[in-house]
Amino acid sequence: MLTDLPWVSGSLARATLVHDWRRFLPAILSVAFAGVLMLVQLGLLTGMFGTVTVLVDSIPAQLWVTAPATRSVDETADIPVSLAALIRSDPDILASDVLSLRDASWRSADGQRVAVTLVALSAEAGAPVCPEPMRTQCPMLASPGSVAVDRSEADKLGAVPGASAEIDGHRVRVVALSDGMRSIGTTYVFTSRQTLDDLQAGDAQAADHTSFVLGRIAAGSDAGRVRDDLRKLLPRTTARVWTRAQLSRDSRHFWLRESGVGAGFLFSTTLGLLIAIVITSQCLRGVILGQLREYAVLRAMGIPTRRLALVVVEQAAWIGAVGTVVMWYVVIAVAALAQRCYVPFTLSRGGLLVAGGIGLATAIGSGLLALRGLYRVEPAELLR
Amino acid sequence: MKACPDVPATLSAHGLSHAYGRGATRAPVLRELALRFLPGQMTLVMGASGSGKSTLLAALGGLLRPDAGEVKFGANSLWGLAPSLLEQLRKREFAYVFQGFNLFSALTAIEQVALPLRLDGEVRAAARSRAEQALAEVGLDRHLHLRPAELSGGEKQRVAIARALVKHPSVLFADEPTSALDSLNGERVIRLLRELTRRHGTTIVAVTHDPRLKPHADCIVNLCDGVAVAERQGAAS
Ligand SMILES: Nc1ncnc2c1ncn2[C@@H]1O[C@H](COP(=O)(O)OP(=O)(O)OP(=O)(O)O)[C@@H](O)[C@H]1O
Ligand SMILES: [Mg+2]
Repeated sequence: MLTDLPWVSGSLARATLVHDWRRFLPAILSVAFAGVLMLVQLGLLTGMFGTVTVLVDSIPAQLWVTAPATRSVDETADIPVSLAALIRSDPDILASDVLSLRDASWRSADGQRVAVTLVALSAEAGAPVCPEPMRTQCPMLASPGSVAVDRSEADKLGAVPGASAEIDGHRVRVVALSDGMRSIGTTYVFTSRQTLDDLQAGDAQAADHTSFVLGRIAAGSDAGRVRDDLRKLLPRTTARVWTRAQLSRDSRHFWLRESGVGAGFLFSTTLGLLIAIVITSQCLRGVILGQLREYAVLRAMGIPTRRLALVVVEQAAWIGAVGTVVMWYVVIAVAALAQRCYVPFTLSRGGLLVAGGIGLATAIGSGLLALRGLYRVEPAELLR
Repeated sequence: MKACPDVPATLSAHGLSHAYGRGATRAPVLRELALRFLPGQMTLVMGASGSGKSTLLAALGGLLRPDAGEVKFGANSLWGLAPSLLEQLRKREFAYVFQGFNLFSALTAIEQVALPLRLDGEVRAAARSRAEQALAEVGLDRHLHLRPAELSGGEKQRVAIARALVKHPSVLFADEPTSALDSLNGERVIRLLRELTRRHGTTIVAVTHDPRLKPHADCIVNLCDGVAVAERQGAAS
């Protein structure tokens, strides 16, 4: 039995926890619940907003040129294709390329209509704009009228490799499925620059414009410095230059702010933690009150109240520790489930550690709140 | 009133007075009591319910500050000490056994006895070996790993006695140590107390209303209306 293990016997805090675990269960579960609430929300939010920047994060080019007013990668406006040649004049830029995003209407073989975003890539595996997860798919887009979609969107689009569909009334053929290229904001359909030009053949201006110009630099170069150089090169009214990390971060923050979910997350996390504090401190208080006479004997024997307070705080810390472990297991299970269901969910080691720390602090804080009960331990009153 | 032999007392009280309540409802419980407790002797404090026995014991044991009077332990005047010094003195010299056994339900017998030592900073192994010894002295060496729920009433009180005596206190205060026990167990517990304290020279102040304990006492103090009405030498030798 667990209670017979040598390490359990020495401490009143642990022995009580193991012996009366049923009494402590609500406290442990409330700490675990608060952590799960926090991490699952955080995981879904960052997972979701992470997908907003899936293009930025997976395309290897380190420098991005956007329209001057762009605040987030999904807010696109046209810039001249000629900027690609211009940035190549900087000696640090090894290669440059263009990436065009266009809204379009998809019509699957069974007549289903879906609003999509066309992503026009260079049809070469090593091109600066080919996303890392699509290295094998990029070359397949070379033949005209070929498109690829993400596996997680395939059902919605009625797309299987070899199936045909219509984009804005033009016939296209699905040649490949990608993995991990899903975005929460829109449905991406990947195609080549050539196919995109064919699809918008009527639009004379379209061929001279693009959404992004991308630059690749040598492995050791400092992207920030090259960005500053490019900023001097490009007039501020024409374009804005970003490093990849900066565009990714700003885009996610933009979404957190604009959507208001950041505030919602803070609110529900705080609420969860408050509930955990109330439940845990009430639980500990109940346990203290149930042991008042026993504590009173120790007080009579000259054990200082602060030493007894330490026992309660230790008990609280154990509740926090056990609650944290329960929370970790639940969150890891949720993450695994989310992955199986193609739900974007991010879980970081740092997040787990921070949530554990918050859980522990919550429990210890609750223990301190519960200490009031101890100061009612008056041997002369309790032991007559 | 000096029925007990005239040797230096371990513990003594002079002019001890205490009252509860305020204003018109203020009722005196102890009135100018003078008492002496001699080393190695067991004094029984007897009296009707509500006569102030527990109050007296608390005042003598450093747990309740009396309204007036002095309690002396050796050269120290208990109620003249700073609270932290009084706490230290209680820790080193006094021990208590109460009517309810007041054992932690989660702890085994050996853990109950080792707990005050551990909380006082003694290392685990030393605390456990002293606890084991104390439990052996009260005849519980075969029940070291049982919890209160698995012990009889008499056994629980013996664990409480072992917990009180493990630090070899100078004075043991016992408030109704036998009233939760049947007469046979009560008898055994009091004999055990007597025997152990003789061995270690401990002074015992025991409150009881059980007349069957009288034969074991060295001195008997009868409390009535806040004064000690009779104080006589017991029959025990
Ligand atoms: N905290 C208190 N406030 C007010 N009155 C009290 C308080 N404690 C005790 N008393 C009163 O003081 C008197 C003596 O109480 P005490 O507990 O010392 O009696 P006792 O002799 O131990 O009685 P018993 O044999 O029933 O235990 C009683 O009348 C009781 O009502
Ligand atoms: Mg009493």
